Parts: sequence; C-alpha cells; structure tokens
Amino acid sequence: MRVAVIGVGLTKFGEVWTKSLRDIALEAGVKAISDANISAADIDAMFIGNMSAGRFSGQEHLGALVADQVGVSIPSTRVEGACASGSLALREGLSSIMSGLSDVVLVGGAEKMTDISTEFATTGLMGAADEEWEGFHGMTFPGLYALMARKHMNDFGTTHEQLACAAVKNHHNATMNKDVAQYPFEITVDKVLNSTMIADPLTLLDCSPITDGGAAIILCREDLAKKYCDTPVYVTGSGQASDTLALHDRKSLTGLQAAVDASRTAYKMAGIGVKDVDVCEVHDCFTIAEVMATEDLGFCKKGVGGKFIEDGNTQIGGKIPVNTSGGLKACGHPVGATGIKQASEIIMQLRGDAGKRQVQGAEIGMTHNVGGSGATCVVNIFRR
Amino acid sequence: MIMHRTSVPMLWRRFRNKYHLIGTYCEKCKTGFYPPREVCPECRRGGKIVEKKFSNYGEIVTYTVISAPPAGFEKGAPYALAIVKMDENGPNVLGQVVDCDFEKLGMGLRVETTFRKIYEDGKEGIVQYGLKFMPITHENL
Repeated sequence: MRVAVIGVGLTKFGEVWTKSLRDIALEAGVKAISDANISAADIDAMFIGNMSAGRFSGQEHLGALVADQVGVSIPSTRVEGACASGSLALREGLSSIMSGLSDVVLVGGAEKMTDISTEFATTGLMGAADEEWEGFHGMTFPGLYALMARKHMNDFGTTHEQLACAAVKNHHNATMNKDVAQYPFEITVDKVLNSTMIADPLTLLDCSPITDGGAAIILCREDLAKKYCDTPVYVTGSGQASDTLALHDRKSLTGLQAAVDASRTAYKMAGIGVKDVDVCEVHDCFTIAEVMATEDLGFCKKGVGGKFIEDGNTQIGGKIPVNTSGGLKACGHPVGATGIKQASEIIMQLRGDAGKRQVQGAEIGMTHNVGGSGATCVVNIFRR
Repeated sequence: MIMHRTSVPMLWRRFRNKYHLIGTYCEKCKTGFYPPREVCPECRRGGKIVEKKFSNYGEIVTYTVISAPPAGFEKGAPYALAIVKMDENGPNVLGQVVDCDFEKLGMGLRVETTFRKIYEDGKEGIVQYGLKFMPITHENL
C-alpha cells in the first residue's frame, strides 16, 4: 500500500524573535491542515520531530504541547533522531498508516534554536554526536565535518572551491524561495573561501545556520487521498539506516555508509534506480556533506562529487537538481523540522507548485536527511 | 543552562579508559575498539571480547583546527583536533593535538599521547583530565 501526502505547511525560517517553539509548531500544523483542506477532527495521530527542545527551550513533552496547541486529544508523539528527527517522524507516520492503525496523520517538525547563545547551541548540537568520546574533547559539528572534508580533499583531490560551489548554488536557489528561506541572497565562491574560519578547512559560509522554523505535512491512506485532494503525491519508498555514533569509529571517513544503505533500501522499495530521480533535497549541513551525499546516493561516482557539483550537474536545469529549496545552507536548518521541510519542497516540486525554482516535468523526488555525523540516515522517495 | 558534565560518577567510571587508553579487543577478528564495545559488530556472540591497553603512539589520519568552540572551551581556541590511528593495529582515537604549530599538522604526522587537563567546569565544577596528542620528539631513542 502506498501513502499519499495531501497537505504541506512551512513557517518562515530564520531568527524569529517574536515566536516561541509552540507558536512555530502550531503555525506549521495549521498551514498543513488548511492546505489539505481537512479539519483537525479528521486527523488520527500526530508525530513531531524535534531534536533538543529540552536544551534549547527547557521544554520537553513536545507531543502533548502540539496536541494542546492544535486543540485535539488524539495520540501525539515526539520522535528524536538528531537532525534526522523530521524524517523519522515521517516514517512513523508511514508505519501508522501502513499498519492500518491510522487513516490520516499529521507529521511535523519544529525547532527553536535562537533563544540561547551560539556557544550553547553548538554544545547542544553536539548531543547528536558521541558526547563521551567526541564532545568531551571540545569537538563541534563543523569540526567533525571538517575532519571528513580534509580526508576527502586528501584522498580524492576535492578542492575548497568545489565545496563552495554547493553553497553558492544553494544560496542562488534560496533567492527563488523567499517565503521560507532564511538567507535568500547570492554569495560567491570567493566569499565562501574568505569568510570567518570555523573549523579548518570549513568557513562560516560552508556551514548551515542556526535557525528557528517549523514544517508539517498531512499523510493519508492512498484510497482516501482523492477525497481530500486533486493532486496527491505518494510516498513510494523509505529507507533508514544507522552507523556508529562516533565518527572515528567508522570504516570510512569520506562518505556516510548509513546514507548508502538507506538509499538502496528506499530505491528497492520504490522499484526505481537513481537515474529515475528528477529532483532531490540532500542534507547539506556543511558543504562537504552535499558532496558526500551526491556520491552516497549514487548521482556520481565515489570521489568526484566536488567536480560533479562544480560542473553544474546539480543546478536547476542540470542532470539532477539538488536542494532547490536552498538546502540547509540557505533555506536554514531548524534541526527537527529539516526532514519535513525537505519533504515539503519535493511535494511542491512534484505538484508543480515550486514557482521560479520549478524543475520542469519532475515526477519522482527524493529526500536525504542525516542525523549527527551520519549515525542516522533516512531517505524517502515521492512520486506524483 | 545546566551543564550535565558536573556529574562525578559519569567521569569516574571512564577514568581507566580515558587516562590509560584502555578499550576492548575481539580476539577472534583481532579488532580493537575505542570507545570500548561489549559486542563485536562482526563476530556477534561468536566473538571473544577482552580488555586491552592500546599503544600510546600513532599517526594522524585527519585533523582540523577549531576556531568556533563549544561552551567551556572558549579559552583554548583555536585548538587542533585529530583522528589518530594507533600503532600495533590499534583503533582510531580522537583527541586534541597540543605542543604543535598548526602549520606542522598533517596527515601521517607521528604523535604520542600526553596526559592533560581537558576541561574546567566553571569555578565550582570538577576539572576533567584525559589524553591529548603531541608530536613524537624521541621516537629513535
């Protein structure tokens, strides 16, 4: 059985001083419910992706918080898998419908990250890595990806200019996504190379930002979808895989095995190959992550991801457009919401609702959402 | 914000591992684990896990210099962190690299462990110690 998506809702991403976690979660949920043209009474269950509300806002018990705000008494559950929390919530929604437990499910994600200082946010995010063996030594997330970037550069000759091309492209795409994107402006390769050093070789503009934001979608049993919606999109494949929490414990430091495994599971379930994918949102928490994703998903061979991006293959109009939303880099990265935002972008693309950034004729789209430095990866495939 | 690092038992139970580079080792597939594992991912229940002290010498596999540190590490920034492959077929280990100019950092640089202060948990919290790396200065002695 396939599952349909009948509604999407996104908040404006950014440093949103006027809104709290509950405001953001509610806004995304209400937008998705309105877009699906259903009422809250039609929803059987909710799954909310959130990484770190306890650390970022002092608030746990997110499932109940969202049910409270929406004004419903249905089952509502928080799902956590670091930066992949959103896609995990989506998978919980799929399970709930495919098992017959629910007919209509709201899956959402929300994160409020700017109520604390950057240092505390950096520390909080390290909870996604191995606290006892990485955080203990003063490691940071940019640091972990810098270790991978350095190794990728050494082993394959990848250049910082090539990494920067991913950020430049994503900022360009974000200029066509002004309603949601945190940074809808152009940057240049030179600007990336010369911005403040964060974790050598990664500079500020190699890194995704700290963001407040929420996203929600409405899932529904395939046979009920036409009742609510003329243009349903279907979830046809989903894969999830795990790897060691600590980066230094992995066999490879130049790719994410969990992404390879999750994508192969998803391709098999959807009955497609990588060449069938028309548009993809990948987890570019850092520029090197987008390079590794293009390789891990199979868009290009191992080691040539940097050149593949530099040559324009992943631009809109290229061989495989990647991160049309602006990606985590320019659209923003409210960690728990990111997986659902990626799904929302793909759904808009498949509906033909993506405006100036529309990939013409897109029929199959994919999301790649990573938790931590690759300890969790979820790949979901959608079809119109 | 409450930092959980103030827990004494949380640090105390890892003293042996963190002070002496002690992890575990599967005698069946001859693989070292640091952090220590109780179950070998390859051999599963067929493996034989024993405690093992690893070599204090190794070489840098990859490295970075942190300019934007997390809370509590501000005073030390910028500082170098590296993944080091320990000698005698030891595991990869993460740690800071000290007493080394950043320009001298490189893949393959030979390093040894050194016992240092890692982190001071504010004015009232406990001081945490552990291993860092420094370039080998006396390898041929």
